[in-house]
Amino acid sequence: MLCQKCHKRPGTIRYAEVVDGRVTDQFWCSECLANQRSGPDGFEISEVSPTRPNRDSIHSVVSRVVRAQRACPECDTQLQTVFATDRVGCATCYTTFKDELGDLLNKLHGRVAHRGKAAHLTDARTQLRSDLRSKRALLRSMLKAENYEEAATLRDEIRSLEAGLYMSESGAD
Amino acid sequence: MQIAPILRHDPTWQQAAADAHSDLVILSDCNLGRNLTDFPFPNCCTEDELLAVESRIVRVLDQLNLLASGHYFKLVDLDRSEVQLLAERQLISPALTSPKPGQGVYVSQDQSLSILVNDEDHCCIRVLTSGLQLEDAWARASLMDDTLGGVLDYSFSDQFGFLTQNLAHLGTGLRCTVVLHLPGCAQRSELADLRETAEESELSFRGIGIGPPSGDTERPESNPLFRQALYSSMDGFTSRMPYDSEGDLFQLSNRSTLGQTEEELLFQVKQCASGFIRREEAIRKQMHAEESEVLFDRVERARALTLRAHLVPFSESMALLSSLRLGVSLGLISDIPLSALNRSLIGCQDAHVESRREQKEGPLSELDLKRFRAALLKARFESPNN
Repeated sequence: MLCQKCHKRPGTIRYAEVVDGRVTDQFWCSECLANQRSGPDGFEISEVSPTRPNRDSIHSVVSRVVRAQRACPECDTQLQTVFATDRVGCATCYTTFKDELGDLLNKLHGRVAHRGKAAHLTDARTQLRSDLRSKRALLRSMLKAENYEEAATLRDEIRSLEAGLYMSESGAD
Repeated sequence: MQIAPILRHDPTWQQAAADAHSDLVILSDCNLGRNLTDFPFPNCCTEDELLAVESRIVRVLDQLNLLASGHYFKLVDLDRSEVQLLAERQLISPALTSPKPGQGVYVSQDQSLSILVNDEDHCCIRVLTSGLQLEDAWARASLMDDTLGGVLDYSFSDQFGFLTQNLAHLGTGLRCTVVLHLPGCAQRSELADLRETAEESELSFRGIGIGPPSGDTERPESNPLFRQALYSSMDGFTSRMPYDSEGDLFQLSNRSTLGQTEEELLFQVKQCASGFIRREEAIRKQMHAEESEVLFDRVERARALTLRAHLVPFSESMALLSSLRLGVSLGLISDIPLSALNRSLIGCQDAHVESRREQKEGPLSELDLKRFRAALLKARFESPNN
């Protein structure tokens, strides 16, 4: 990605600025960053790493931007943790934080959509997985509602579906 | 020692392939990160879940008959020196210093393929080849990926591709790396220029050094794995700025994994590596023409030291091997095969030096390590073809 200030050199340093409560987040080259520091409107920038984003500054920016501490319903990973570590906790995080991840992925990769190899599941296995997902979601809501009788039945059904799925995997070779 | 079957054989990539620029490119590798749909990513897995992931992957390896042509090691069952040996052979990530239950590695008989379980991702396929043979490494990694993917269900989304714990590996999950030997560019201070060229192509160009990157002062004490050894990893975890390298060794790899096909990523890395190779060759040619006596002296001095020195620190061994490699490449030395240099590159690291002694009573002192390393170099280069 080219530097978003001079548009000439590669932008390798993430530069976040808060003006009037609004956050601008850009990728700059080291020269533009140095100019910003030494220029007439320059100011102290704490510990900007050339290879890794500064965790503390990202953390503080995210804290300002995300007022609600959004968390993934599946693994409980918070959005601010994702921004601070560049890591998610599970596949569901990608759907939960889909809108927020766009900018971050664009900065990391310069692109947001996959091209290349794809994973292939057989129709039967896809159906089994889909059933499993809905039953697990149902189980979570039953447990939340303290409906343990229904939850026990669902748990048995999930186990039986999982067994079927693993058997289909074993038979695949 | 559980990994004894591995130690008995040299990795096949050490046998430098002909016509693959093996004098300038030590090795090429492809790392492919994959996760299973039914579990959270390893950082969010409970111990039971990590064990369940491991058991499913090992069961599949068994079904595919891969355990007959390789070994699976549970990392918690290995002692520290064994884990370090695996890291020194580039088979596991150096980040795996204190392994957790459920972490393990499958290593093929020829040590060109390893499958790391529950490190950054549930499953990381790694293929190592000698010289600039990225396509071969990718073909083998992709085949193994297809084979495992036919049985295991990978976490995949149409928009984001293969889902990984680290957002920097999302999409193809592919990190391809070449390890280059560039003494000419280093001597002529061309490294900053090479780095800029790499960055223009969205690639990462870093020096490979000993232990942790500069500035990381806490790790050596807390982590005995960071002893004197050369490590590289998918993230360039232990690599550093180009000017801070040992033995003129550098790592070139793709930085982005999303939005480009695997073939495009391979092409970019290979194209850039080929450019660096041409540049290095031109500098060497110029050096050979302008300062042949200085070069000859450097090479012969290195050769004499490998045969006569009594104590050799790791850093010096890397510098000696660099000079010898340069000599072989320029035709100043004809009786040392590149495979002997590759073997020494691995063999001079601490855990490998320690593993050669007969009686094992505690770790060797720094002085002992230097003496053993000197003896190893002498033995290897007195009769280099053995």
